[in-house]
Amino acid sequence: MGIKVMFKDIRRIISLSIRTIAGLHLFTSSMFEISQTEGASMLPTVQSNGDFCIVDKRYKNGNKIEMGDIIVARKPTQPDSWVCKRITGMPGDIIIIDPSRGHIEKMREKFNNIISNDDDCEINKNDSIKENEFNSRFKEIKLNKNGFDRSPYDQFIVVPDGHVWVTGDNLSDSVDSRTYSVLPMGLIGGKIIIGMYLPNWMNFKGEYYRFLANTFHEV
Amino acid sequence: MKPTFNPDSSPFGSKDKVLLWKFNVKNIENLKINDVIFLKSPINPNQIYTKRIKGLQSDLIIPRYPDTRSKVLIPLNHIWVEGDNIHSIDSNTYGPVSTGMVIAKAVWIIWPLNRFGPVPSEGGRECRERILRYPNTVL
Repeated sequence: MGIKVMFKDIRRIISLSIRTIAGLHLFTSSMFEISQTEGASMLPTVQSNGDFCIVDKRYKNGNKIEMGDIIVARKPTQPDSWVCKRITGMPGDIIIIDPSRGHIEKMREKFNNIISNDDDCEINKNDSIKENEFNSRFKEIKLNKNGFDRSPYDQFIVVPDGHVWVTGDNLSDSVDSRTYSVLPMGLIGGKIIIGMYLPNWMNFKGEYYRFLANTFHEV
Repeated sequence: MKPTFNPDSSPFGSKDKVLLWKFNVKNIENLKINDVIFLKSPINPNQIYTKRIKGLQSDLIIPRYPDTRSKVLIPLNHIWVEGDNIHSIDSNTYGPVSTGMVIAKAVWIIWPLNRFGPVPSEGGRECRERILRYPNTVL
């Protein structure tokens, strides 16, 4: 009799724990999940360490995702690691790959201004020397029969269907679409909606949580 | 994947059922050439494609329509997938796919019982440049 009751209890415990685990798994894979961020690529928005974020998994696979949303996604070149980035291009958009690299015409203008403001500069007097000076300073810009070879500068890309363009908020310390190009929506794991900074929780001061709003507005 | 899966094209024919291996398939180490995989479509992420792996990372691929005589170098942790059918929409359209898009590996055909058995390990065309150029080399 006693053994029978014990078996009944064990069976109940096993059944309950399996059901709980399954329910939790369903919840974290399709509703919400808390995950910790790491790295400096989203620095002004999300702290580099100890920042716990609530991930809304209903935006999995890029469903209903919008420009300016903060997402977590698998890194295309390293699928076992997750990255947290902001969407800066939707399918069909024309994107300049790296705005921080500058613009050839603007660089040339700037260079000419610097040279012409300098009265003592000998280069100013001769156009061919000026041209040579420019070419030697910016060796990566080469002329071909179509004009400038824009390979490191001024490169544009059209985001294909089912892909997005993602960049970190901290452009100077972020490995993002500028490196691995467009990100397939299938790699998107969810959208980050709330950030909770752990030191604020520990010290009972500051804001405990903050909504990570979509800061995008069209010009 | 017509000759491999669902070979009869009649609308009333039953669809094939296959057994899938889902453990650790996002790791490139567990993916081999000629494996049949299920992957999320890069064009529409809510669709699932069945394709055969035809190239792994660092392979040089000759696409089906090399209109500019171009070759494709597969990036790190990416694969080149093609359907066994010549009319399939595959990497020739959307390029190399990240292994993060792989959902499962098809290992065993279960349903039409006359074809019960492992998924055929051959199909499609060879498109790796080094194999096409040096076919007799053992690698």
